[in-house]
Amino acid sequence: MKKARKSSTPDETLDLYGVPCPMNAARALLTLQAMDAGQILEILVDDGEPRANVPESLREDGHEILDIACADGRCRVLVRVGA
Amino acid sequence: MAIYLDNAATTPPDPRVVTAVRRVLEGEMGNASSIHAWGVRAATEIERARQILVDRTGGGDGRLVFTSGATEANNHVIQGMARAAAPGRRRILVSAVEHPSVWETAWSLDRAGFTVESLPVDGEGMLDPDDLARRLGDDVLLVSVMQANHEVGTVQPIRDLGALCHRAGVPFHVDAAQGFTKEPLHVDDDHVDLLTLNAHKLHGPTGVGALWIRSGVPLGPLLLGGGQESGLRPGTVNTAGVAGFGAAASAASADDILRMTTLRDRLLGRILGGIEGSRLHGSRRRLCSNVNVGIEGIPGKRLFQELGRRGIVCSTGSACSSGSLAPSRILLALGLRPDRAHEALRLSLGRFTTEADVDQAADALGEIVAEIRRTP
Repeated sequence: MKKARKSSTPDETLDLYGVPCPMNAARALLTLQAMDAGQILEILVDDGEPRANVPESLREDGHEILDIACADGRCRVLVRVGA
Repeated sequence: MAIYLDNAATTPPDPRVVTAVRRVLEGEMGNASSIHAWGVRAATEIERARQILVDRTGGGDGRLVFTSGATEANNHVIQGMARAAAPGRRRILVSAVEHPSVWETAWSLDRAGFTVESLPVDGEGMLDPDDLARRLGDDVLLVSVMQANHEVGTVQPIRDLGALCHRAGVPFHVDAAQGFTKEPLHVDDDHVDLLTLNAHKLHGPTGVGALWIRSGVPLGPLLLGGGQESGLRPGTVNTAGVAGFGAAASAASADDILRMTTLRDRLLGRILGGIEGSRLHGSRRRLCSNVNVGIEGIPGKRLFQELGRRGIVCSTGSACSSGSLAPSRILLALGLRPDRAHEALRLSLGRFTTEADVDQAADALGEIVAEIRRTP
């Protein structure tokens, strides 16, 4: 059952640790395409190149980056699915 | 109008496959390793296809890498496992009816210190799980068995064979080049560790295949020089071909299987019931797309040529050996005498085969046989 969404509680989580660019962005885009507009996806990516590239690719595709938080080389990106 | 009954050799592309290939070739697609927008678009096509194939094979814990086809995937498995072999694992077990890309690759290792054993089949081309059980041990490096045979269509008891391999701790490779989407296959339920797939037997493009590798199987790359496909298959990925592969796997349906099964049985019934001296090669447990018959006293080559003159395209055996004068290794493994093996004719069906096609083929075959017998 989907969680009731308010503020930025993720509807789904996608673990992309260890997945290189640009396959990580590709998988994130495919996941977002399967979700409904307005839902929130939590994406786990490595810091560095993935942290720089993945949010940018998702923005270019019309999705909204809500938050990026990094610690110990790992990042959590919250994305709202675009219309 | 030609009638194409050589779908076991290759299949005409489905319009949905053509659409997917065109989308890539005509779209703004870069190298799927590039991190700019064009690269991301190409990578997205590849990841979409990868997910489709992983879903269709059971979604087990492993990696699916794209290759140039089933031959490369089979070579990768056999040569790659040999390279990674522990010193005590020197025996490789392959069925007697494997495709040359498994058979010849395995036997090439026989000269490199490995021992290859051919698993015998019965008169229908079927392996005996009890025979495999007796051969398994901790000195076996790999067991390689095809899901369905390319010449006679016999479908192997993959689940039983896989369970035996797993119980013995031996990696199990399945070449599903012919059977994928036609026969059920689930990498976990069927205990498969390495799986070969290709696109062009299911109305996808030629030149693209895939290898699924279960996590923990110690397979390294065969080719060197790039990090693509998790470092397991360097080289720029064939984005258009891969997109077509995904579309082909998506398009394959249970309706196709039902239709082909009905047409196969209609064709078999017309031949075996209507032509004196005709016999079936292989098993009743066969691919929905495969008819392989022999007509007593008439070389398959002659039937093939006469059918060709009437616009009916088929094969005397596998595409790889149709130019060969030697009798088929597969049919000999089934116990056929060489003269009987020379009588083989393979008529293989696809999604676009119609009832009229199989009726015309059966009519033509009956007429040709009657003519040959009138004027031998």
